[in-house]
Amino acid sequence: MVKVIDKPLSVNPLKKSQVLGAVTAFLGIDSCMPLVHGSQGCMAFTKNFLTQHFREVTPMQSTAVFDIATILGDDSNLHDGIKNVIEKQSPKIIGLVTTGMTETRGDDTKATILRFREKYPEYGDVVIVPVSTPDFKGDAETGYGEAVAALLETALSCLNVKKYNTKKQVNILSGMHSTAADIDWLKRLMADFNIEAFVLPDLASSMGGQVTRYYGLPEEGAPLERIAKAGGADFTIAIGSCMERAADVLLEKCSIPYKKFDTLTGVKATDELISWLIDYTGEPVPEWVQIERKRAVDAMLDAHFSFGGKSCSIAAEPSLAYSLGRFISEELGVKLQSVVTTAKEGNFEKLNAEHIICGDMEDLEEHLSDSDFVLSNSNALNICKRKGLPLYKVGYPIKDMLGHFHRNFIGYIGAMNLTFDLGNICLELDIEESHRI
Amino acid sequence: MKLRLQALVNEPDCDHNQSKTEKQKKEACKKPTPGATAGGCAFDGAQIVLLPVADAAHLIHGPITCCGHSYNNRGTRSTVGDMHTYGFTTDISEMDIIMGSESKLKESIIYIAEKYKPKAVFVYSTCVTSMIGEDIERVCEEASSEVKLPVIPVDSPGFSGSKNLGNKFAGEALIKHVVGTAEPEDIGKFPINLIGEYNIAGELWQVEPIFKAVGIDILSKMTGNAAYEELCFADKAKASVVICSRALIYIARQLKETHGIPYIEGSFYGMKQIKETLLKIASIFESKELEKNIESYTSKMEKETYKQLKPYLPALKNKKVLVYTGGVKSWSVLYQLEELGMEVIKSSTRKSTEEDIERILEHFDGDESALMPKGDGKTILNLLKEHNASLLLAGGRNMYTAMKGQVPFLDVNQERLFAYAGYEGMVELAKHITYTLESPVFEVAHSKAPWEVA
Repeated sequence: MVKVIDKPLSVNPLKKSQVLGAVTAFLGIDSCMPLVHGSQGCMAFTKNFLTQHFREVTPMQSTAVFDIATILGDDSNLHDGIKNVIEKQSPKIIGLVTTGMTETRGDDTKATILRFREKYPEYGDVVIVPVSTPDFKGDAETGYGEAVAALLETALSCLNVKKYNTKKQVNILSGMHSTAADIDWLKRLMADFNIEAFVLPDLASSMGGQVTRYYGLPEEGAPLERIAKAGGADFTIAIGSCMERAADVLLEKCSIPYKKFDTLTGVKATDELISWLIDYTGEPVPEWVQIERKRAVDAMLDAHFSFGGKSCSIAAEPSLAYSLGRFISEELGVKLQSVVTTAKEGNFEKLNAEHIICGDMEDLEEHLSDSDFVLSNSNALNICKRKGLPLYKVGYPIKDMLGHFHRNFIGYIGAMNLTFDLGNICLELDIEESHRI
Repeated sequence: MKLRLQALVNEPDCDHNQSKTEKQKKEACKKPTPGATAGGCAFDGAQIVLLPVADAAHLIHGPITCCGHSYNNRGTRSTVGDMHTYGFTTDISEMDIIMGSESKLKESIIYIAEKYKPKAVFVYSTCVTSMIGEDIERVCEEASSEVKLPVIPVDSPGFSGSKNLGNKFAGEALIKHVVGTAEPEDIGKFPINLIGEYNIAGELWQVEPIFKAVGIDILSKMTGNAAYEELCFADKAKASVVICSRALIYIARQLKETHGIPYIEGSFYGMKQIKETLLKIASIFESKELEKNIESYTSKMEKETYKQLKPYLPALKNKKVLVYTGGVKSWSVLYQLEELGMEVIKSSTRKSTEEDIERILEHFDGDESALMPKGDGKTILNLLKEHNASLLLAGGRNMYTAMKGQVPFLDVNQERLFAYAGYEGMVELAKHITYTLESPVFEVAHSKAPWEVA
């Protein structure tokens, strides 16, 4: 049962808006400018947040809806915004993200875009992807999923879909919680199973530090030409439940079957993926994968002495909370005290936790009970300091730590890393306890 | 709203405003360009000013973006409380928009008052709650009488303008609802209000000892490390010192008009500036004693500081810097860099008032080519290259622009961890510039990979 604590406000929100999710998704697309349709702050806060999180240049723009324009609600801000972005930055795609403000005003962005097309036929080759992401509903993950779905809907319908080579083509829809290391791991795995994989969005390439020059637009993420061709793939893998909407678009429009993996964190979850790959491709399992599994299991054996009797709490977006919660409770044997997340329903309901709460960091703080450690984003640090608990940083934002985006959380390697990291936290607690006189 | 905006935008104490032609006036109030904007909204600006008041809670009445993406992210430090690290928001939903959320707002205020026991609650309106016509002023009044705490409405919808305007909204809220509501116990001999210092990374603690040493008492800090209570008796000070924001001249002017408190503008970035600012204060008090104290203290501190700077100065000498920052910093930091022996090639004018620009020009002997208009990362990097500059000094959002260009960088933004004010800050600044300039990483970054070598 998901609990919602009865209170009129949110204290130290865990939730981030759909705007953040949608913008993040668009940052993983090559030559795509996220354009936030709202007042300057909606974009500025989001930009600041993501710049700190990724430690990268995070291109995005705002339609800067301003006073009189707000009340009148005409096309001018949106048209000027699109036009200026095209003229200054020459994007191939514009990800048009709405906000609570423009949604309250009742903007019909699709109609506005049609009028833009009529007025400026010279910009006809720039793909404009409208996505409705008011911040008075949903959360970052829904915004992220909606953006990818909208992108596919727009890009697939406006460009020819062509099958282009003989290898098996698989679309990988990577969820918002995927790190660069996770995405790279999947790419390598797919390649070694002789699959031509296409990762969408590809934040590893755009925000993973491989672009070594200044950019006014995200570079080297998933390119438009390739997105259009996603419609010609043989299969789609969706990672995390928020990617199901996008997988449905590919199924409905192009009849591409898909498999959804709610989690790829842990040995069991990775086994599930590898089994599927064996069945699907008939290829042998690459040696490095076999080695990684042995190492993960060995790590878990070594560490299990410290996990018994421990409990932890998690505060994260639904897909991430589920992935971590399942691995920690079902494979490491750490008890889940409280899982706080940002949705009222989802697969996380299945977790074996004392409390499952749709709420905020205050709820986390008040339901920690006898937790030994906490998994959450940087905003939980104050709580953990107050309670004297170790914090293992996951989710958004991670602003006080280097290299989080280059850590593996999925695959056997992810299981091994998590086991070591969390095992070390518990080992330290044990040593401290044992040395206490 | 429109009338109120006009009143706030119109700054009679700014000479330029009076002598401006219609066209110039229009330009100054230029709207942001859709698709080519930078910087935050009015709500952001209001929050920057008030958030340092850490024994008061800050409740944001709006949907999740406004608070969810911004809380617990200011570099401001406080010893009076930790409420500035909390994010309180009504997190309004679709249903709240349809049905109205004034009762939710009131309940939220009561919840905070009972549970967190702050000294006051600041309530910020945002775009959506402003558009649906929520009467936060009335709700605050009602809640205030119920919880027996000051509950201050800050009318700050983001769409009304830039951060600068938001600074004024915050000032307006302070003047209207806070200043003049309490009596101080002891005001000291030379009591001042320190306006526009937010204690970022603890900069106030570099400035406070200077005041103390010369005998000036800071009665009300607006708002770095301020307790709510001290804002209430700002009207009892004998002078106001505006040190960081032209936008907060509003408060100083109101204090002058309604309470006859004269004000001066100054800066604590750079030794020359420190001395000048202190002497300006002394002239308000018309005190020879103060003047004497200042003269002897500053000359002692300057000597001491130069001694501490000595090891760093050779590495900084004649190095070229591009300053890309906003408002007051666009000129105040120039003096600091000059004193470190560095050469500023250009300074940005975004978010700067005309007064700020005039001061930049003063520094460059009127050479307008030294002004750098708004530009994106590419413009910045091109300028650095063109002038063969060694360092970019800018806010955190441009940090990664510099890293992409593989250029040494110094962060002067709100979230930074290091403090650069006062005498101590000068040394700190010299150290940190030296660290980035001399880091071996740039040599590695500029080297070619083996497979790239011809």
